[in-house]
Amino acid sequence: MTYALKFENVSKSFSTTDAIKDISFEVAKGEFFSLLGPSGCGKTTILRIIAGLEHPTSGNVYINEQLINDKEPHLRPVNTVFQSYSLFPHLTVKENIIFGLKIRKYEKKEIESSLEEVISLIDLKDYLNRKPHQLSGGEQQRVAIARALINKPEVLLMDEPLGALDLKLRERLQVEIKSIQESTKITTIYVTHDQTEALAMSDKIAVMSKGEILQVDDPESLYERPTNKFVSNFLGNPNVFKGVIKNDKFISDEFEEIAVTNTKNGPGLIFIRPEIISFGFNKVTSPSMNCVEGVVEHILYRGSWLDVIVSVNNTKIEISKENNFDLSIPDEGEKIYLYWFINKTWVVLDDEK
Amino acid sequence: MTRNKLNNILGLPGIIFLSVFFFTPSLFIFRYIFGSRTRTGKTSFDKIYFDSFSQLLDFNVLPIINKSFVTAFFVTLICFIVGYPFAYYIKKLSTTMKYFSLFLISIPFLTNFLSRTYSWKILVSKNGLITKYVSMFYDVSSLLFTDFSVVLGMVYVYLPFMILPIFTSLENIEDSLLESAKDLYANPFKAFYYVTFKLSLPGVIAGIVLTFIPSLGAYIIPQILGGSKSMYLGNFTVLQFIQASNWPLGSLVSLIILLFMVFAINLLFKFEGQRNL
Amino acid sequence: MNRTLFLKLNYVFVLVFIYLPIFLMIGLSFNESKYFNQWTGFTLQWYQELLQNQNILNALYNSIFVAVVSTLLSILFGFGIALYLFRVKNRFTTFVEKFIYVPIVIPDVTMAAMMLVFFVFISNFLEIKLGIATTIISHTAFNISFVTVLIGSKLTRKLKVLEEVASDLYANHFQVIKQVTLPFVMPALLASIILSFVLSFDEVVISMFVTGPGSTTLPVYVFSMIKKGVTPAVNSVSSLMLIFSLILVTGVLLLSRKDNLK
Repeated sequence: MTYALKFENVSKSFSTTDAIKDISFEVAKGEFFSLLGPSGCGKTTILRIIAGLEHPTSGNVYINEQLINDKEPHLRPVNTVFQSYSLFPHLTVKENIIFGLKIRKYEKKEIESSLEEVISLIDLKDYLNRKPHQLSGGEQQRVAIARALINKPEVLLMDEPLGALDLKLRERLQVEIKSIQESTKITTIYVTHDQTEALAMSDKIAVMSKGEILQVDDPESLYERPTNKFVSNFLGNPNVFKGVIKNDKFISDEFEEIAVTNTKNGPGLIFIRPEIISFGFNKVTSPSMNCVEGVVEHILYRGSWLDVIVSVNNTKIEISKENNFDLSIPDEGEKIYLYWFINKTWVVLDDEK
Repeated sequence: MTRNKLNNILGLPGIIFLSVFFFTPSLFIFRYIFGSRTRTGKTSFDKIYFDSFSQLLDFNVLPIINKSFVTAFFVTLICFIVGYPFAYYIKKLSTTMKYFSLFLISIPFLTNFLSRTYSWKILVSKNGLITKYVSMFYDVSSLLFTDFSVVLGMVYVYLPFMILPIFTSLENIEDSLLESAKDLYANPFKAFYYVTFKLSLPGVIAGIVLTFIPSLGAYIIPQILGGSKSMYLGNFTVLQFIQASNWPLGSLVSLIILLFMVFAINLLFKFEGQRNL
Repeated sequence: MNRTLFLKLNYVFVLVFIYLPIFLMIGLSFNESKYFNQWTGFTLQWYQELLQNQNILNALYNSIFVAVVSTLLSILFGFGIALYLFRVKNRFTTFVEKFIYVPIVIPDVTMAAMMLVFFVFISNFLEIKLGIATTIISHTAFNISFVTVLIGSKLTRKLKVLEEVASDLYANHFQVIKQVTLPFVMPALLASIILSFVLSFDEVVISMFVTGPGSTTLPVYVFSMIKKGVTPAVNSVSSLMLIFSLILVTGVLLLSRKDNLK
């Protein structure tokens, strides 16, 4: 068996809209696979189809080489961590967690030992006899994760589980979830609209928009070598410019020439990520670098880093720099030179979507 | 068992029951409307009769309809005059007092209204408190069997139906709106009318519907407080079935009551729809 | 200042207006004298007489029997319809959702007429006499809607999520209803039971039309008593009925208050 989960040309349409169109992908066993995209892109629909809460209009879905298209949710070896507040309000934390085992009439001893196992992964010892309304949002979500994990599903689904939590808590739980996944090696499908979350946790990410998958890759490839316009724009906060590429040079209204490497000719976009741009007070001439001159407009203090907005010709370029206190920061209004490696200028030609 | 099958087993028995024992009977009313009362009191269906319709005009049903409407109108009016200020007042109370007051209003609302109507009858009969009080101003020996007590009896029973919806819509008005109203209108009366009152309109309309409609088709209250001689739509209908054995006419009048209600409901909800803020 | 005074007076007036007659009636039921303008002493004799009045006891028994059976049927049918409308969304269910309100708003006189007319017609083909059975059927016919609407209002999005969670955790369709749906709607379910019982027990006009001799219900019997006049017997039976339904209704309100805190 090669894959844990496979989608083959799956489409789902509701009466008024097409939620997803012709989706195909594979998830390897033990992989942490994320579905990343803006609201409405279809990622939750895919998750619900895997869980069995929706059925595909066309196409096939396989788990461990078994076709599961029309199988009811309670007959699938899949468990879901829902978006929020999905704990049974009339049951205690313990009763919530063991729900899936009790329903299948596991013996008391088995239930107790499974509970011990899960508690060792996610510390909930102090909460077992409490009711959900007595827990905070973060605690509730950890219970929800335990409730799913205890059943040792073939595929674990998570639908934006951290969306309702504040930043610090989210970051903490991201680490926790990732380490649990690494030690249990359960195949996990994770849905999120937060790219930093997806980049940090995933082995592979599928970027989606408007019901289609645009690119599936590991985080680094996705971020540094996006294959289309949407993906390039969606990840990070790049500076984007539209123009024409001719003979390895990018020409636009704003720039006379910016060197790019090994691309075909034609109209297209270039992406320059803020973090790859360096600045200095002297012009840099080097065959491997691009350099432009500009004036500092704004400096945005972000605590651990700075966003500097520089006006260049009649446009703006944003650069991000770590806040090293001995770094000399230019003042607003000062003339400044921006330079970056030519091969880090990312190009997407128009005919590549 | 599939999901669909289970859903059908859950819902269809009830729906079938209602189709047989509610929907079908409603169709029978139509059948009887076109029948005719024979001398023995049974109804004949040999052909399509229009007797019930002509009897409608002969039997002076129009004054009865008129009386029922006028009565319902006054009942609704009084309930509004007394009920709106009540709802407005309790909105300003502390939460516990507020809900306690509502509690006090709601309980009689659902209890045995036969008993409550009867308790009102005590007050308006020969030596009742209210009769005594009123007879200080007017010369009446008994208020019983007068239109006055019928109207007040209905107000007595239906008042909570007016208060509760108004209170609900008043509750839903945010205080911030009232604050900005005070800012905009120097005159407190204008602030009240243009903001508070207009925003509470959905509740007022619901209250009017819930008071007017039952008043129109009331039977028990007019019968107990008005006696057999005073005729309202409700007891006229019952008369046809029980005493006069004129089922065609009875069916026709009961249908008319239903139609009036449907018409009134539609009218009032259309009015509310136009005022959608 | 005048305005607040007026509002306060109105408030007190309304409460007095509503409760005075009730207390008066209850008080009078303990009055030794038959005439209500003189108080001659405290007595329970009228209540004792009630207990010996066979007609009233029969009527009471009929009322309870009808209320219990029609409540049972209404709950079964009504809960089922509520779940059905919650889970199935198509043109048919949209129609049913609207039509279900008709039995709630229909005037009792009209419903009484149509049930009578229906049963009489049926009795041409089947051996049906107007009596307990027809009363039960009629009461169920209007009660179902109340149950459906009351429970239906508690079938929310949140419940839908919880049902999906349960399915995800291996519960089959029956287990979902038993383990998740029922506990979730329990307060509304209990409130419906009490409400159905009260509505059936207190119902007058429809019962008047569709019962027969020997199967009179209590409200119908009391109604005929009331029409005859103000007597101590009526005072006591009326007071009892009032207090009884007061207790039940308080139960309903407390239950729905508890539900709203969830």
